[in-house]
Amino acid sequence: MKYVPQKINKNPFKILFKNEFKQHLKSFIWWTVIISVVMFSFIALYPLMADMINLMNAVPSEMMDAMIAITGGDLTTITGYYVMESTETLLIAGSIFAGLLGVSLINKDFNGGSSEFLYALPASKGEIWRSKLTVLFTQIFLFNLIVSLTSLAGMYIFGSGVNIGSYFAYFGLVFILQLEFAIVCFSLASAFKTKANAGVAMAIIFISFILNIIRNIITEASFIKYISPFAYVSGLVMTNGLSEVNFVLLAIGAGISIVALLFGRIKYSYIDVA
Amino acid sequence: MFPIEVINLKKMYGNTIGTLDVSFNVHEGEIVGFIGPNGAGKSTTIKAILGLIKPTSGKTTIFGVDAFKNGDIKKEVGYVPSSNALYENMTAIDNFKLVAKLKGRGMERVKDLATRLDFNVSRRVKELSFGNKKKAIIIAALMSSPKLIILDEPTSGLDPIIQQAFFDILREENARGATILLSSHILSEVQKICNKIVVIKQGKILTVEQMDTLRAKHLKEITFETNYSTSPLLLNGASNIVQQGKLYSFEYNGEIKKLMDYLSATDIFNITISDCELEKVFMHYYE
Repeated sequence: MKYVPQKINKNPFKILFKNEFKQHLKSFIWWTVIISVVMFSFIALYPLMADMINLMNAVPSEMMDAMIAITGGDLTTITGYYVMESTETLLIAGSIFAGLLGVSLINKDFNGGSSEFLYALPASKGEIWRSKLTVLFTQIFLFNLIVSLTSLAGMYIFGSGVNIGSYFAYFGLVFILQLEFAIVCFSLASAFKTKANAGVAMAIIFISFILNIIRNIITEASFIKYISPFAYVSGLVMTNGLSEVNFVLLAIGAGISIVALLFGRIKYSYIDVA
Repeated sequence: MFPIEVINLKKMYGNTIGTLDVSFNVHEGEIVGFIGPNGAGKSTTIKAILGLIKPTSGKTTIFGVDAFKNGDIKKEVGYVPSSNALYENMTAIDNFKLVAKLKGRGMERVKDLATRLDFNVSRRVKELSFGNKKKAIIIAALMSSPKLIILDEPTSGLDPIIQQAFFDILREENARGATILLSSHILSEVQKICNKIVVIKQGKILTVEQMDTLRAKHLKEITFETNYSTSPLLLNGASNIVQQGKLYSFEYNGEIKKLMDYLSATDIFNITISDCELEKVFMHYYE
């Protein structure tokens, strides 16, 4: 009589999710606390910037308009100031956190030697992969939630507050940006294991960022907006709301993420895990 | 349906051979020693059985189920890998709790195993010595009373007392009904505990033998010293004869009566007769 394994009553996905979340909790806490504190500190400095900001009023309006178009940030407002300051910290550092999380979720087991333990447990590779992917979504979401709430508190303490809808629309774009990097890095690690490492993640993020700068400087390079995810995170959303969102670019980004996930999942099915 | 069935397993890592053509079965209740030189394909075969790697061709099953396609079957398996594989930033007990939850079993056996192996479960795995990490992975493998136990170099890093305790535990597991596949370079442990051996070399199975048959083939080791004679030893069934003046040693697999007749006709003043160490037999396969 053929052996038919009895399905265990426990939910392996839930158990695996909790375990994976715990494995990456320390780095999540460090990144979230540091970015939140840095962004809050920037906002705390805003009142001290008043003199400099007044100088901006002397800048010719055409030049000011050009600067706002490039950076999305109008330094004379707290939200514009926040957008200007968030580029390096929230966008780049946040994307680095997301990208590193993406590769680490797959590769920590291979680098740390726990892969033979984990994959010899009674859970399918699919369940393991899905649990790691869910941790990816959850931690990036929580990261942005905590940073956004911390910064929002700062906006009200040190400024006159914000348009809540526009504010969270901007953070929605930031979340999607980080998620796209995280998914691409996660999928590359799923396909290529430790060959897709932290260095590869950083390279993808920095190249995307530099491409976006080039796009902003050189008119002929405007096509880069279809390649670099930084292109769809416009600071103008913070001031003007959803009307500034380029949904075509978002759709391209979503498409890239979906293709990356499918590729990663298929390759993952065949990789040797020990 | 066998606890383990391997059929024409081939695994290539690019151009490097893992295994070429491996086929063998492990029957229920057996303790099988899986031996071979470094790079022979032992770990590759074990990993294929457990579904950790995808075979290039061929098939492996655990209780009739392909573990690569159906991870649920691993509920019935306790695995001790050659690497010390637990989550390093967790305590040992937290690793055990993870195993218990995923296998749907309790933690009742942990305390007993930890006591017998002299192990402190509350320590963080990364703080443990190599030997203690090995104890932890052994406990994780055996705590769920699995039907099938697969061990890859399980005693490396264990001191002799703990090794003894470990083999006692394995015998008890087998007496309980567990089937065991033990891969080891320590041939004395294979000889002590296994009732069948599978020998692999250069990716292929060389031989599968029952231990009783092996013992019968290589029966006795004899060393004797004569008073005066230094003639060459002439005895049918004697092999590996070493003569140093009046001291003779050899292996014998013929009839015992003929041996006794020969010895009684020889001018002997000192003699030792013992069972042949199977290590010597196994070493032959490593050459």
